[in-house]
Amino acid sequence: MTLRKQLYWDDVAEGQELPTSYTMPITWTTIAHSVSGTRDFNLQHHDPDFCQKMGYEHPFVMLNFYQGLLGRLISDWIGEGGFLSKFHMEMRKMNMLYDVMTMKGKVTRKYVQGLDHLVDVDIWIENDKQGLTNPGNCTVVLPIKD
Amino acid sequence: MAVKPEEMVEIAKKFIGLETQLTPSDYPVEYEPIRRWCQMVDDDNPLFINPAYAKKTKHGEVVCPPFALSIFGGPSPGYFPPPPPADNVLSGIPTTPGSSVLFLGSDWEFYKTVKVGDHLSVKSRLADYYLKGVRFDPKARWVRIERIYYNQKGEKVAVNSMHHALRRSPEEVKEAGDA
Repeated sequence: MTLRKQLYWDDVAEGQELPTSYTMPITWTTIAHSVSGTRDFNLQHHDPDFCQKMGYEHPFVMLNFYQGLLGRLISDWIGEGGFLSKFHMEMRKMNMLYDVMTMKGKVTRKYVQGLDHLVDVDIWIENDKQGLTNPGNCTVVLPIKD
Repeated sequence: MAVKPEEMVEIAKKFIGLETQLTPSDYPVEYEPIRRWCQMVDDDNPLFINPAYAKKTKHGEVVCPPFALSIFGGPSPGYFPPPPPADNVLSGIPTTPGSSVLFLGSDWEFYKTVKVGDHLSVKSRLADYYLKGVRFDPKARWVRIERIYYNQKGEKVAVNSMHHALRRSPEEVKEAGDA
């Protein structure tokens, strides 16, 4: 286990890319983990015969898996003292078995609202075959240095 | 005979804005489902998976990753044992046989941190329902549902707005004469 470094609002710069970007291939084990973690037993996420019948080449991963992936990208970055306030994500293309996903983010705005020190971030998932699959954005509240 | 997509949209529109009753989840927020959630995305954050560590932090307990709220908010597809048929203001919306759900997007607003031991309750609201084609079904039904999460103190902890499409199989589309 690795302790997450605390991020402070003072140290964030507009335009900076999130250093917590990471890559994950979708293997059969990933598919099993995604069903276990999300409790989403819809057949299109794990049953190849059902997928063929419905016109899909392979099983594909689900909404909650994407949210979990982007959630990790954010929580790894903001540390224990940060708080995710708002989140938006679109599912424009599917990520299927044998694709490789990469989660990324970039700071778009840094500002103060009331007592809160906020940062807006563009976040997204892209894969090795189709490029951008899941664009989104979020707002986080960060602590400031004493 | 199955209800046609156009008819379903007209029926469903009457339900827009209605809310279900606030319903407590069967189980409180627990360690093990959070651990499996973290395993899924290879997240070894000790705040989420190490009780001894988490108790020493300002949170005082293992924190639920924000989006894992959804697994503590009630039954999911294929849940065991199968829950009884829904008996709420939205259960009058008809369904079509063989419908497949395609999630299109999600919005969240978070207000409070949720921790192990919290017990969530959820109510749902139909926000939108309309017809729009997707790749395999020219008359897919697009639906937006809001789920509002509360903790055991009655505090609103999060609101999730989910956008999804209900589609038929290519055979069902052909059979209905919509191909």
